[in-house]
Amino acid sequence: MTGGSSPASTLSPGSPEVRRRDWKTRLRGGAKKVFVWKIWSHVVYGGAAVVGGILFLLELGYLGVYHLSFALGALHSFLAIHPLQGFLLSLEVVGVILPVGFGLGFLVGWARTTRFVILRGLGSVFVDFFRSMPPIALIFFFALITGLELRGSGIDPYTAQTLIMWMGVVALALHTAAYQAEIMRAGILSVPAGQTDAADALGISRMRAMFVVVLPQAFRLSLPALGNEFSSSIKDTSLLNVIGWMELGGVSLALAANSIEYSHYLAGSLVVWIEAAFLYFVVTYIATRTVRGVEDLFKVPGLEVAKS
Amino acid sequence: MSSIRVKGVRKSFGELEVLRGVDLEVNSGEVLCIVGPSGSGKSTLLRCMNLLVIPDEGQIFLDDVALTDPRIRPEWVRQNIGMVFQSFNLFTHLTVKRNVMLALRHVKRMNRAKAEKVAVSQLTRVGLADKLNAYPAQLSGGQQQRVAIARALAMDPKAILFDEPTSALDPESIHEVLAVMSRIGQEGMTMAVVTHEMGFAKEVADRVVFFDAGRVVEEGTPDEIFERAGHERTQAFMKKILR
Amino acid sequence: MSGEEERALPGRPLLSDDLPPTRRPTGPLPPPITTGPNVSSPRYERVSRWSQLSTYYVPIGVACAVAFFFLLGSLRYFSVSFVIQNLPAGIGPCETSLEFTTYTFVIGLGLAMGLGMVRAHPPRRDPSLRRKKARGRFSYLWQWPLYGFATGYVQAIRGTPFLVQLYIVFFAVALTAPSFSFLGWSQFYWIGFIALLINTTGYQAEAIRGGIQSVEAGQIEGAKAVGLTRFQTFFRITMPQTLRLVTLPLTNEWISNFKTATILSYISIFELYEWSSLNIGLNDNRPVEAFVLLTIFYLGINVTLSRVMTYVEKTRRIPGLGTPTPEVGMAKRLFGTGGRNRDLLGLGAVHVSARDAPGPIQGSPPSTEDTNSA
Repeated sequence: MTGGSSPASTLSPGSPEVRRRDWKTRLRGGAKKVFVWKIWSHVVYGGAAVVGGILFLLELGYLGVYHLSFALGALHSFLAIHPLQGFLLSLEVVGVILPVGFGLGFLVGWARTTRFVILRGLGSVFVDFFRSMPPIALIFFFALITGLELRGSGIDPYTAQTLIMWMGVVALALHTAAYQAEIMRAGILSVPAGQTDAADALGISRMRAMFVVVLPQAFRLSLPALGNEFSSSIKDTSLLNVIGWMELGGVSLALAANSIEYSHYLAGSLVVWIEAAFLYFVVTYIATRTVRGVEDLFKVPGLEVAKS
Repeated sequence: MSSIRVKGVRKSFGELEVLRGVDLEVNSGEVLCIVGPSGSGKSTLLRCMNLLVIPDEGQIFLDDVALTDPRIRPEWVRQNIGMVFQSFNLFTHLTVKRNVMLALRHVKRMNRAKAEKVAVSQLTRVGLADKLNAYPAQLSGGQQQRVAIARALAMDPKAILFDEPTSALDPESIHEVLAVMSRIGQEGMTMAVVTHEMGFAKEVADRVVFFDAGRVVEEGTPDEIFERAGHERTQAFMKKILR
Repeated sequence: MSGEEERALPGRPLLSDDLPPTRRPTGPLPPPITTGPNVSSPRYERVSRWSQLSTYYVPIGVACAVAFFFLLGSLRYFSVSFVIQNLPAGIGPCETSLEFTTYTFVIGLGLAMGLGMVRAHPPRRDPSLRRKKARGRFSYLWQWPLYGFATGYVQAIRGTPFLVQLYIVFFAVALTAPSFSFLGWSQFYWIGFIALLINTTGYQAEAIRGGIQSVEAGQIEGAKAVGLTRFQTFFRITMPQTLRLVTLPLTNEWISNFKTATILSYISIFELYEWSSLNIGLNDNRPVEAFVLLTIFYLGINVTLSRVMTYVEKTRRIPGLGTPTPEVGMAKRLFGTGGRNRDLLGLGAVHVSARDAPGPIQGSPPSTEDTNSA
C-alpha cells in the first residue's frame, strides 16, 4: 500500500487505466473488485434497466399495440387506461407492503428468539399460519370477511370499499412479515453462541448485547434472504386484482380481455402480458440489485454468506 | 518407491509470483521436510507436485516421467502420488471405511470385497480398526488425519505429500499423527512433508529444505540446517523458532 | 501458583472455602446434587423434547385457535357443523391441487437437475489444461450458450409473478391450438400444468444450484487428490452431498408450489381455493366457513409436511454434513434455563427440576460430610 514500487499503485484511483482494468476484471469475473466502483455499478445497472424499461414500454405500448389495436378496434384507448398506471399503483402498494412487512417481521422474528414463552408461542403460530396459507386466499378472504363485518355497520360505502381493498394489502403484508420473521430468526440464531458469551464476559447486559452484538450480525447474515423475500412480495402484489385492485396484473387482465373481446386481436393479449412480465422483471431486478448494494455497503470480512 | 524431481518451477496467481524457479529433489525412499515462514509458497509447491496446481513454467518428474507433459492425465499423477491435507478433506457423506474404499473402487477398479480388505488393513495399520463405520465428523482431528493417511496409503502410491498435516490439531493428536508418519517413513516411503514441527523434522527427516519467498534458500541434513545454517535468512528463521 | 493449578483440576468441586469470606454461605448447606441432567441420556432427550412441545407450543396453539374461533363466533354466520359437513367435499379439489403440485414437482425436479448443474458451473477454462497449449484456450466457449440459457430462464422465472407466466402460456397455447384435449385433460388443464411445470423448474434449479455450490471446496480437492476424474467427482462426491443438502429447500419448494397452484383458479381449474372461495364463500354465502375449511387443508398439509421432513432430515442426517440446526448453540443461551435466563413461567425449565432428573435425586438424604471431605 505504502510503497510506490509496484506499477499498480502509481496509477491514480480514477484514472482511465484503472477504470479499464476494473472493467476487465469485472468481465473476467475476477476476484479484484474496487469498492467504490461496485456501488456505482448498481446505480448504473439499475438506471439502465429503468431507462430501457420505459423506452420499451413507450415503444411497445404506444407504437406497437396502440396502432395495431387502433386499426382493429380499440385497446388502450377504449379503456382509457395504460399499463403504466397499473404499474404505478403496484409500486404504491409495494411501498406499503415492504416497510410494514419488514417492521412486523423483524419484531415477530425477534420475539421468537426471546425467552418469553408467550411471545415465542404467539410468534410461531403467526408464522406457521401466514406462511402456509396461499397469498391469494389470504387476500380474498381478508377482504371478504371484512366486507361481512362491515355490512350493516353504517359506514359510508366509499370508506367501506377502501377499507375492504386495503385489507387485502394488509393480508399480503402479514404474509411477507411471516416469511421475514423466519428469516430474521434464522439470522439471529446463526450468530455463533460464542459472540453472546464474549458479550457476557465483558459484562454487557443481554438487551444491550442484542443491539450491539447480535442484531448487526444477524441483519448482515439475513440480507440475501431478505432480498429474495422482497422480490417475492413484489410478485405477490399481482394477485391483488382478485379483490378489484387495478394494479399491473389487473390492468393487463382487462387489456387482454378487451383485445380479444372488442378487437378480436388474440396476439394483442399475449403482447400485453409480455409487457407486464417485462415491467415486473424490471422492478424485482432493481429490488434485488438494491439489496445487493446494501450488502456491499455493510460488507464485513468473515461474515460472508453464500450468494443465492 | 520413486523419486520426484522439480526443475525450475514458476507459478504466479495474478500479480503475485508465488514460486520463482524452484529446483528440488525428493529421492527414492527419502523423507524430505520443507520448512519456512508462512506464505513462502511451500504448499503451492506441494500442490504443483500433485498437479492440483499447474505450474506456469518448469518441469516436474516422477522417476523419468515428466508430469508437466500435456499428455499426462492429472488423475494418473494423483493416483501415484498420495496427498494429505491440512484440513483432512475427508468425504463428509461417507463412513471412514467407505472413504478409503472410494478411490480403490472407482479409480483402481477393485471389486468390493478386495477394496474392503485393503481399507480395513490400512485402517488397522493407522490404529483405527474400531472406527470403521463412524462418520468423519464423529472423530477427533487426529483420528481424521489418520484416516486421511490411510486413504492415501491404500492407493499404494509411489510417494506421499503431506501439506502441514498437524497444523489443525491439538498437541495430543499431533503426537499420534507424527508417530504414524514416522513409521511410514521408516518403512521406506518417499515423503515430502511441509511442516512446522521442527522436532519431527530433526528426528525423522533425511533431508531438510528451507524455503523462503518462492525459492529454495538452503538444503541439507537436519543437522546442517538446524545447527549450522549457512544462509543468514535461515539463521534468522531458526533463531526465532528454536528458542 | 500450585494452589491455582489445583483449583483448575477437573472433577474437584468448588468448596465454600474457595469463596471469599463475605460470600461464604451461612447456615446449613443445601443438599448435594448427586446427579444433574445427563444430556446424553435418551430419557432426558425425550423428556426435554416432550416438555417443550407440551408446555408451551400446544397450549398456546390451542389458546390461539380458541381465540380465533371466538372471534369467528362473534360473527353471526359462523357454524362449526357447516364446516364439518363440508369437509369431505373438499377432498376432490384437494386431490386436484395435490396432483398438479406433485406431478409438476417430480417432472420439474428432473429438468431442474440439469439446469442446476449447468448454473452451478459457470463457463471457465479448465485449469488442468496446460497453459502453453493454444488448442485448449477457448475450448470452454461452447458452454456459454448453455449457461446463458439456464441463467436467463431462471432469472426470468424468478423475476416475474406466476400469474404473468400463466397468462403468457395461456395465450401462447391459445394462439397455436385453440381447443384440444389430450390424455383426458382439457386444454386448460394442460395450460395450467405446463405453466406450473415451467415455474417450479426455475425455482428448483436455483435450489439445486445452491446445494451444489455449498459442497465444500475441500471435498472436491480431496477427490482430486485420490485420483477421481471430474465426472466421478461430480457423481460420487458432489451429487450425493447435494441431495442431502437440498432436502429441506426442496420440501419448501413443494410447499410453495402447492400454494402457487391456487393461482390456477384464474383459468377456472377447480382446485382447493376455487372450491372454497366460489362454492362455499360466494355461492353458499359462507365466507368465514370457507376460510376455515381452506385453512384446515393448507395448514394440515403444509405444517405436517414441513414438520415431518424436518424431523426426518434431523434423524437421518449424517454428522458433519450440512449446517447444524441453530437450536444447539445460540438457542440454548437465549432460551436457556438457569440464572437470569430462567423462563418467567418456568415452563421451559421443567427438565431441570427434580421431577424429570434421571437420577435418584429425591431419595438421597442431605449429607454435609460428602461435600466437605471431597
